[in-house]
Amino acid sequence: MQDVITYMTENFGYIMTKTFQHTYLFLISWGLAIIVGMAIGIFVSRPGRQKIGKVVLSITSITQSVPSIAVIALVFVFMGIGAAPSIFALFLYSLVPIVFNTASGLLSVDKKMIEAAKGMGMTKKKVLWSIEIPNSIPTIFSGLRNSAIINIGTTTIASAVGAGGLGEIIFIGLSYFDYAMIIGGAIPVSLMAIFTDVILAFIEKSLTSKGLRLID
Amino acid sequence: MSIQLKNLKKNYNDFTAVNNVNLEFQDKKLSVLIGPSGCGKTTILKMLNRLIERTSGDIIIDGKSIDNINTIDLRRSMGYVIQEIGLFPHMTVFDNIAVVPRLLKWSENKIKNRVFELLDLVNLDPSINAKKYPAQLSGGQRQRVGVARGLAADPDILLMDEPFGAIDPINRETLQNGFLEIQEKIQKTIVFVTHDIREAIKLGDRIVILNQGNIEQEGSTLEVVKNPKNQFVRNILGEDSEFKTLEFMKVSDSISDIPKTYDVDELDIEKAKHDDSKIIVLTKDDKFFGFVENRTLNSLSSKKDIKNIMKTYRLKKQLSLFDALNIMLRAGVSILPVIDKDNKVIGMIDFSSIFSKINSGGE
Repeated sequence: MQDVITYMTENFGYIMTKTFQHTYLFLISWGLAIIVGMAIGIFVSRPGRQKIGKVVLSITSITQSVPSIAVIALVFVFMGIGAAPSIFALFLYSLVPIVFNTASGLLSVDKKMIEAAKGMGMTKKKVLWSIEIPNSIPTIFSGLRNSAIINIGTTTIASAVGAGGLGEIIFIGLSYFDYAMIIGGAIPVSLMAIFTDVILAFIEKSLTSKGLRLID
Repeated sequence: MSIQLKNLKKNYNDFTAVNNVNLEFQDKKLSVLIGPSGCGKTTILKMLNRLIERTSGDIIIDGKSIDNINTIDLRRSMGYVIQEIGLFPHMTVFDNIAVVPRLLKWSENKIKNRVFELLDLVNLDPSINAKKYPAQLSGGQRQRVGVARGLAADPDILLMDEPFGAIDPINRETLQNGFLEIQEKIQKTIVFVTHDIREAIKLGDRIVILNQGNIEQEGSTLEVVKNPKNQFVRNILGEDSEFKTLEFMKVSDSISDIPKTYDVDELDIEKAKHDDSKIIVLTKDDKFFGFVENRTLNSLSSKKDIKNIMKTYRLKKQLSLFDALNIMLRAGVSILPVIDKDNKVIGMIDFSSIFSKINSGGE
């Protein structure tokens, strides 16, 4: 324990640099995944695309079981090493839970409710933004939280293909059997994951209507 | 605003849901569409606001084909009330009712006034209920919010798809009575879908009986009940259809003149005994207090004992004759005073007048 504290204080600057690198890799790849993932999720859940929606749901639910290291390895084979291939791999891997949860959330909104909204004269866009999305917030957010946690964890592995980040500290520590270094890298990663999840939980709560929380 | 259906047809592949229906929903009347499931009643309703597109034929509202009206505008100009599930759970009661006014870009001030006015209309206290969420309301209250929401932008036409279907029988009765009172005030053209013949007879000015996409019979409620055209209509109406018409007839249409009325503090028993009125109504501050049957006055020794023989049963004028009969049986009297909403006595009703009303077919 003493060793860990000593390591962390002595290498504070290095750890901070790697933390920023890690955060950068995570935010870029996860941010892109949110934009693209939600867009796909919304697209396949529109009326008339129910069939594509079902196909996408089953594809994404299967791909969720592909191990993260396999995705990193594949991207490494085709794109080489560095930050860009890593970001691409992380993006792909975080995309899956976002697409899955956005689509399944939107598809599970009560059809009668949507019909009532249409019958009252809401445009399709209005139905999406005022009815479907607010009612899917809990499902969509559990996808976002899931993918954020997975992403932060997978970013650690991405350092194996030269992306940098806190994984670098852990991997170097592993090769030297330096426990202080391993733990010194693992602690910030864990804190980052917990911190992100807490923030997302807070945002989810503030975006979820009280009326929906009352139902459960 | 009247709605005309001309050769209206809806096919799903080989299945004909609605087959060449010609019909008019009259202005300011409540028309009920009724029939077994799959008869096309909901399909007709949803073709009116184009949630379902017709295969052929035309729908003409106020002389204009709905093809010439923008679909979104068309829907905003009609109230749409469905089973309670149609309320948006993530919105407060206020926001639910405000949906269409906001789509129509009313000012927030005007919206607030309108929402409060409507909550009053459906008998929900705005100060308590406006901020609640649907999950905090009972089924009956939710349904009343649904009605208020349908009326929000003051549409001329109201479409109602089994609005009281999910409510338990006791609350349904209350909702139906409340809704009749509202319709009396607002006078909208209403198309109402139900599978409950009692509800149809009770609420409908006109009834349309449908079977496999065709109209079996259409006409005023009494006309249909008194002269069913065929066996199918008779089956829908049921064995006790004459009895059910009692639900359709209002107490207010059958009252006879105001009975002898005394202020309870100024009652002179000796004088009252000689009145030829069968009942004597007692009031306090001009409001209904109770009534006594004249024949029981003889047993009375002192005015103090009046409370022993006084009955407090009375009828509100908007009740149906069915309710009247029910209360008479419960009270064990054949005559009852009728009051208005301010508790003022406006007349009385007796058993024999109900009887003759049925035989005359409500005329």
